[in-house]
Amino acid sequence: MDKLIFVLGVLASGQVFASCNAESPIRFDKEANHILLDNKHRLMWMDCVIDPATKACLTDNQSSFSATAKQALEIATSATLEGHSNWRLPNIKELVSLFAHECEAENAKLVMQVPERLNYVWTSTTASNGNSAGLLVLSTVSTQITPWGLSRTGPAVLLVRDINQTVE
Amino acid sequence: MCMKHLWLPLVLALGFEVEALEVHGPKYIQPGEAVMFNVVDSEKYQQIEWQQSFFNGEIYTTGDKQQTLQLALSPTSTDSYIFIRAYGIDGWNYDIADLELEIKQNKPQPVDVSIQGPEKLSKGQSADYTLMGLPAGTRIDWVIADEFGNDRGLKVTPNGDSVTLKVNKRYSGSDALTVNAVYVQNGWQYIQTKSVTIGTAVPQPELSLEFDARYTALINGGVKATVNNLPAGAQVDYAWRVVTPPLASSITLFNEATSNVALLAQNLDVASKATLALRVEITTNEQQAVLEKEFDITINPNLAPQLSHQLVSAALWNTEKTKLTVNVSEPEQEVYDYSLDNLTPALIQVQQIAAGEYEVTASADTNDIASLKLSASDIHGNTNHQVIDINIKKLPVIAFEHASKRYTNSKVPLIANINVPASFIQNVTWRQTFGSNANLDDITTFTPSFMANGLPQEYRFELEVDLGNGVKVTNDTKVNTFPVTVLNDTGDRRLIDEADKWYGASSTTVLQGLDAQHGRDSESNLIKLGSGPDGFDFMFLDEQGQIVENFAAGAQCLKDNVSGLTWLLKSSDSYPLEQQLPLEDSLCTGSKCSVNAIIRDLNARSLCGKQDWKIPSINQTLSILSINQQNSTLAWLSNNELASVQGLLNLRTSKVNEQKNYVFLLYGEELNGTWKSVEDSAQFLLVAEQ
Repeated sequence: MDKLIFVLGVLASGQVFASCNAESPIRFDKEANHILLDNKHRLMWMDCVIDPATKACLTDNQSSFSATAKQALEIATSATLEGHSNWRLPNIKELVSLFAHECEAENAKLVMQVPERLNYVWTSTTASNGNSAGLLVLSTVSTQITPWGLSRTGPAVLLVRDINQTVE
Repeated sequence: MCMKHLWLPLVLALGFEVEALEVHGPKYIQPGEAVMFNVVDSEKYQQIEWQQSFFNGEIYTTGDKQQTLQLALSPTSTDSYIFIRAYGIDGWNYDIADLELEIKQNKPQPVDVSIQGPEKLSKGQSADYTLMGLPAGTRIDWVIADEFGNDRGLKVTPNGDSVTLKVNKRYSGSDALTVNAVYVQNGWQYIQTKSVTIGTAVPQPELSLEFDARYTALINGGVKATVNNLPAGAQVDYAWRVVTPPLASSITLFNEATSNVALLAQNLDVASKATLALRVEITTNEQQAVLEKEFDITINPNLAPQLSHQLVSAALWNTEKTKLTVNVSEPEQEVYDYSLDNLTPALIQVQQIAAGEYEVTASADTNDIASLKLSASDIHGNTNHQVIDINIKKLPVIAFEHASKRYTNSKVPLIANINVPASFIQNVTWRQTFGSNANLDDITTFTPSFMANGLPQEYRFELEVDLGNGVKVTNDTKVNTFPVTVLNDTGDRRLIDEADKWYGASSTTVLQGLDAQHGRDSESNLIKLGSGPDGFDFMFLDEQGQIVENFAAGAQCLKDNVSGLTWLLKSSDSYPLEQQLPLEDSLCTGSKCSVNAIIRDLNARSLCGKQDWKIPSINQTLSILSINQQNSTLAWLSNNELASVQGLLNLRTSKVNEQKNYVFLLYGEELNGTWKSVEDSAQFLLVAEQ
């Protein structure tokens, strides 16, 4: 019942999925300790690239953050960061919503504390890599979406979780 | 006999007899009597010398020139005559008088005479003594001396039968004098004596003044003169005058012939000295004295009333009040007029609340200087002014810096500032005036925040800043919240096992954290407004935008209840899904041969009630796509005509960069996103946001 009421609220507003402009609501809020809130989609992001070695935020900008898909999945499911243990890899729509910005105010590369050399990022959405199973990877530079094999290294790990909504 | 008589023969031998010397004295003497001879005009001579025949008695001379000879005949004398010669010596010249004194018995009694005059005489006083009872023309020699025979300190002025005796102030002889009147009658010499007591010195009249050393111009003043030790019955005359008037002013005297003179000075700029004088004439029957005294007085300027004030606050915000206290003092305690003028009524209001107390209220919201003028004048027109400046300050302005649009269920910060230093601020109060109750934290700061609830709405707040002293500024702000947009899920249902193979019958384990294991697609009890595959929630709309049954023949649009977007149904008889059209009209021929031509047509027709049809953005396009080939959203978008679609779809998005168009490549369960030339034909979806 709670979710039904929320949906009705969405319909009543008529202000849905509008492309952002100067009059758009504030989408991102930064909180302390590497937390970035996406108010628009009710998502909480780790405001950093995850260091596969430490499973925490990358602190040395020169270190490699390259991970395989299986490493990325393992990090996401096992990491407890900033008091939360339900981190996950973003699906393709969540990740694209972060980097296929429609205005600079929502340019995640400017908002987030990520290295400039960041390009490919793992998603949790599956894709066929030839005859093998793989995951979709998003290029944060070109916004291209491509399938990558599970054992291939290169993409980085970003973590997301749902903000627990208070539904009225 | 005096020894100096020894040189007398020499003098007489060398000198020259000039004329006769006149000597007064008796012709007869009886034994036991003493008589006296006096040289008349003794002042003409340097020295008087005496010679006499032998007789039984004594002689001695007195006077500063030895001009008096006293002769005492012994009571037992048997002499018949005594011959006396007096010499009046003046240099080498001398005069001679020869006297013959016959000794006789039975001296006749004197006639009844007396000396009239005061019995007592004080030092410094003079008095006249007169011998009464003698025939007129009788020569009288007056001899006055103290009890020791000295006449020092005595001034004797004979005048026939009278003599004026004055006792000097510094007289130091005996306490009594003897006034002797020596006269000759019938050849016999008689002496009438009167004793006079010497009193203490009579104090001199003394003049004293009572006056203020400092007088104020234009105010009546006075000087009082007092004469002490006035002789009884004395007449006193006063005469006041101005010796030197004050600089650049003048003094007028009144009653200047009395002991109390009044004075009035004209005003002057600075204190100045004036010199006055008093002459007092004291007249008695016996004497006249004049006392004079000059004295200085200082004339002070007559000052205007003095003004002072206390202003509690010399700087006021608009509407702020302060208290003004005015004090007026009149240096000369004279009557004065006082006024307070508001020189800037447009800036401040002044209200008197008590004598000398005013309430001043700033009445202009500007930065300016307000002025009040105090004036006070005395009865002479001496006026003092004082201008009080009050700094009028424009009220500070509250400005808000927070975003006015936020999403529901998010933390909404409110950020305000005010263009005044923090030290001026007494209190900060936020009040919510509209919207669901927002529990503001840090409500006494300029940066409170609250959690917006899930209902999109407008929140309004009033911020009040208390600047103290009753001055407050307020401003209103509002924040609108907009609904969040839950992203559609991907339709990804595939799992992968630990061997990196698609999960299947041979798989034993499955990787965790995959898309298929999370989100709306995986929720078994998902509540939908409409219906749709996996987590999607669609409703079909007819041409007018009315909801119709799923896949109805008249359906024209598909409403996505999750994203809120409305999609053009791509049915085969209108806009086939597989149709590839160029973007621009210039790249094709014919009616509605380009995507833009179709968009214009849809907007013109307000298809499904929408007039903002357009090519969807990357995120919009992606939102409607599903990679679940078994239950694809494309079937819904094509009004269930997906079966006619074969092969790869190149779905155009609105994103264009460097002549390349971002497109999604969709082939079965595979999804890619890439860039293609804008000139390439591609399939398209059309969306309306409103």
